Amino acid sequence: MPRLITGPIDFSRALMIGATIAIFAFQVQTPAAQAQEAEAVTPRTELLRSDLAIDRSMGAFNDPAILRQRLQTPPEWPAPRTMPPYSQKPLNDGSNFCKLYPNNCG
Amino acid sequence: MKNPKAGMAEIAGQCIQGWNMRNRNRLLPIFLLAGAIFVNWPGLAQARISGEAFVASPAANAFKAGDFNGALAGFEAMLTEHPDDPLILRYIGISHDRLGDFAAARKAYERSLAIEPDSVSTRYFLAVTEYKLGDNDAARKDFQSVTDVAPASDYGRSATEFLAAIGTAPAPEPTRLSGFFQLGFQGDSNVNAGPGGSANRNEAFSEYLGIEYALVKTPALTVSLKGSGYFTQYPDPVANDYDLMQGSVGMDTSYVTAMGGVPVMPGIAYNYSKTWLRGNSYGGNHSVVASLGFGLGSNAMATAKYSWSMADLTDDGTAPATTSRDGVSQSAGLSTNIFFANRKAALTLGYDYGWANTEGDNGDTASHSGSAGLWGRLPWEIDGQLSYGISRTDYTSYRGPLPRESTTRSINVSLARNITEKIKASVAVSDVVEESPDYPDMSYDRTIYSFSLGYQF
Repeated sequence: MPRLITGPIDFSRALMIGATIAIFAFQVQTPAAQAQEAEAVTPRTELLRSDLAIDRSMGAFNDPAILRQRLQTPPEWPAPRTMPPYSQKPLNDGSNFCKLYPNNCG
Repeated sequence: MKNPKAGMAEIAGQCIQGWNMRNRNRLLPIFLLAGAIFVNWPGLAQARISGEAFVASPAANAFKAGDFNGALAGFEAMLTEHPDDPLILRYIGISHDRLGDFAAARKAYERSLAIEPDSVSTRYFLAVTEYKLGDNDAARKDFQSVTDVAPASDYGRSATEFLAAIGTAPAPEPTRLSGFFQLGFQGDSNVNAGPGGSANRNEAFSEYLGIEYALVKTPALTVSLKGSGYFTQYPDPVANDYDLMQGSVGMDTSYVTAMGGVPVMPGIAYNYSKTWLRGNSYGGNHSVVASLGFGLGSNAMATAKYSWSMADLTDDGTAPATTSRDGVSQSAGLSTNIFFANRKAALTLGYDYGWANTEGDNGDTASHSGSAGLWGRLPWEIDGQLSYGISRTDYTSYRGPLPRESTTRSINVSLARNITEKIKASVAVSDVVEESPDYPDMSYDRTIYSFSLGYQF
């Protein structure tokens, strides 16, 4: 019966053979994996396309909650209030404020 | 010695023959069953309803007409003919959702996803329902999954809009009553000095409380009653004499629908506010604002707005024909929001034309105003805003030695961050400069900085 290994094991040769087998296996594996992945993506894309056509036709996106998000403006929390405009040195129009603080009206 | 290959073939042949002999009778039914499954496989596939047949079904027509009770009954009946059909289950979910039964909707979507886990559509509608349930963590995860798989689709774009809303605002309150309380501290470079003539720079503490009660709260229509109170305390004893207090009550309503595929949101709001100075009424103001928001493509929206307000001040001045500011102000304008960076930033542009007609000639004005702003989500989840506004006002009936015109420029910068989901801290600086070239005494420059903590409940 033929012997695969004769004499003491040459580790560097074993490593080289192992690496060659690994690279070969990887090269064989990669296209296979890619093909498998492509097969997996295609039905998903097809499903997405058909679902989208159905959902559009049904008007499923016309949910008011979805529409409100489309019209969402940047967040606005109530801003700190400031003194009313009469703090801006208003026209001296004889108003209550100007009677109280005559020096502060223009 | 036998040829090893011939020996192996012989052994294999014997094995197969023996195996066949021993198992033929036992395996026959299994082969027949497998054959039947194979032959009938296309028939099994047809157990799922086709898209065309589904869209043309009476239940689908009821759904399209907005009869969600009828649609739900129809879809459930269709399940007996097409058991566990993921498409029918999805529309049972959407129908439950539109009827407001979010828990039942979630169950139907999860049942559909158990059969068809790759459906982006079902995962998207599940996330919408989770958002309505206030389960932001689950909604965020599912919306994110949709944007990862199909970012450029209708699902991905809409999921991005929801993710932006989840990332920047507290979860929508499921109750009818909600409120906002804010504690603030602000410095103002142009508070009027009191009669004692103290410096016009001042600091103030303020409290604001706003309460809202939703009379109607459906996804399409909201009608709310609102009330608010605002109080200030100035550490400076002279300025504190102002004892400023403001209160307001109002009603808001908005409705959202789609017209020709474009989302539109008309709204109308009424508000009455009253101001007191040192315990005396300073004046009141009624206002009505009508607005129409509408979508502009997938990354922009615009709002057209018209507002009308009527002021009634307690004191009309020494010569009401000139000095009274009682009267009506109106404005009409358009603002747009253009979103980018997955809705984590927006550019806002606006224009308004306003005019006022008061009892006293000096209050009559016509003005053009423009504004530009930038909002964006910064590192550490800080919301930053920067805005600039300019307006030119013409005092149309001014009684004075010279005509009066003024130009007002303002710049605002603010940074805000949520400390918890309901508490937000913000710092802001604003500067306003009004110039009236022919009346220098009426020109002013005012800088306000503020720090505030807000709690939403």
